[in-house]
Amino acid sequence: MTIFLPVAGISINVFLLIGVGAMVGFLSGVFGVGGGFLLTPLLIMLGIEPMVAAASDANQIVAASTSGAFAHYKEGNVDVKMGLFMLVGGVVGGGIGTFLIKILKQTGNVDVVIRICYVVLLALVGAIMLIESLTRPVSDETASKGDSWLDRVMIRLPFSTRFETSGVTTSAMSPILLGIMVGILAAIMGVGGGFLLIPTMTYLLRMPMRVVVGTSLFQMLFTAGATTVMQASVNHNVDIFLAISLLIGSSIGAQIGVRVGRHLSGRQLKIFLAILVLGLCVKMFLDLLMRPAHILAQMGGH
Amino acid sequence: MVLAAAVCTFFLTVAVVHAVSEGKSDREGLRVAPDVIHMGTFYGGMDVTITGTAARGDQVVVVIRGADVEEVLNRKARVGPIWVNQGKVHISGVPSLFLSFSSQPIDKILGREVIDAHQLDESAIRKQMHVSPEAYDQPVIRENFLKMKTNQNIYEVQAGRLEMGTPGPAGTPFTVAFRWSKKAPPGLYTVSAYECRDGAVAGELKATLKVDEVGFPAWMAHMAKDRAALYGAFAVIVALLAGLGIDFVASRLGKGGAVAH
Repeated sequence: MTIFLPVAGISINVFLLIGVGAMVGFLSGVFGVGGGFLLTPLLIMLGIEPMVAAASDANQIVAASTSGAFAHYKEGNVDVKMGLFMLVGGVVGGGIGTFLIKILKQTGNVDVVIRICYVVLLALVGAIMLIESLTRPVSDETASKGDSWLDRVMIRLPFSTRFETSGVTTSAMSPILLGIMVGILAAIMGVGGGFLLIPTMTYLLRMPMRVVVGTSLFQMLFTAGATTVMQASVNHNVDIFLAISLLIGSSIGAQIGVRVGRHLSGRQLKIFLAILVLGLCVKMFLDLLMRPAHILAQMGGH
Repeated sequence: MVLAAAVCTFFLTVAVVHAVSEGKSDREGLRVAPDVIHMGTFYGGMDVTITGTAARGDQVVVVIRGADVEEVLNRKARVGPIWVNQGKVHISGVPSLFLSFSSQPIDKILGREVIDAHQLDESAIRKQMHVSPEAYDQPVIRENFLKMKTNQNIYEVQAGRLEMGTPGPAGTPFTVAFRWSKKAPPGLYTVSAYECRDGAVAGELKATLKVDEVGFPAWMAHMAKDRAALYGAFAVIVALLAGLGIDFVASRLGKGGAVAH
């Protein structure tokens, strides 16, 4: 069954979109990682413009993180104060990212920049996952806490604030800066930033793991929401049909993934996911190097 | 009296010729089915059939054209190992869509000058196209533009695709059936059937084909473009409601919130 995506301007098989969403949702359910970093490149491969793919993925993340954040909130696992500080940064970062996209769109290289960002991101995420899963037990997620130079810098930052739910005292600037970074990534790449938020909140902000996931989802919901509004207003890139189709798939896939994940070896699965991510990275990298089929390309926009 | 009879005869003759000519027009009317294509929610292209009748012995070329447009495209070039967009190319004097179907290879039934004059094949478009800046490699740009449009299925030339039927008293019926590209933008397209005889165009029939965005996608596209901030807020509200709906379903299943993010 084909549906017409009015903003992307193409007709596409809806089951293909739901299938892609389900695949990414399945991986999210199995591994407990976000799927944004996989979803956008897969959409690009389906022929959707990188800008529309990234912006619509951000819209899809709003729905996915609403569901997750609400579930965690009911269990008291959301540090609202920390989330709000990150949110301030996230909105600023989302604004910066949206205007970066606008400038890149005018130079005509937005697609190339998004692709390059993805190659770097996928290489980093894939390599870290592979190394971690090969060298460290999967359950040992808090092992790297230590008194590093970064810890000392964090302690010296001004505006020290107590975050009761997390049980930590840190500078208010830390979550704001983290939010800015995630906001920029959300706007340019359409990712939720869980891969950046979770380790940073765990290792730098020293938040307990049960609060980390809920708070990251809480801030992601608002960052992705603000990014969606800005992308729609400035770049006219958000396709609701596309976002909803992906969401249907990812919700179903995640439910199946959670059930399947309980019966599988986490370490081997993580190695498999790392290989998948690195494979995608190599494919996108080769696409950048190989001569395109045409030396002319449509300009961004609709 | 003789003069009055002569004048009457003249006007009668004109009326008869006009009536015959009108009859001939009916006989050769060009029919496009459907003549309006709606791009709705489940739009994925459309099967289109064009039929008509040509004079006995004539060959036919059917051309569907979009309005002439000016396109601004990115030109890709290699910078280091990576292909990036480097400079813009303005291309004008080209139709937004060009489909040409003929009963035989066009160059076998028409002379090159006639083909160029009526813009009946890609070679004619290549010649008419204006590319700026002129410093760019003109033949390469022209060739790439046509290749790009062909790959998008909005430029297509197919010889032999048009079928000529059995000649009858009214002439020879012709038919061409094809899949209207789902990538063709909304607009009003001109459908022309050229009757070809002795290397020249002996007659031309015209019709139109309209492609419209309708329903929810049309509304969404309009909102996204003209009321962008409202559309953005709508997108977020829809996503929030969808997320809460998923949480509701997931908690009913006993696995609240286990969704991708």
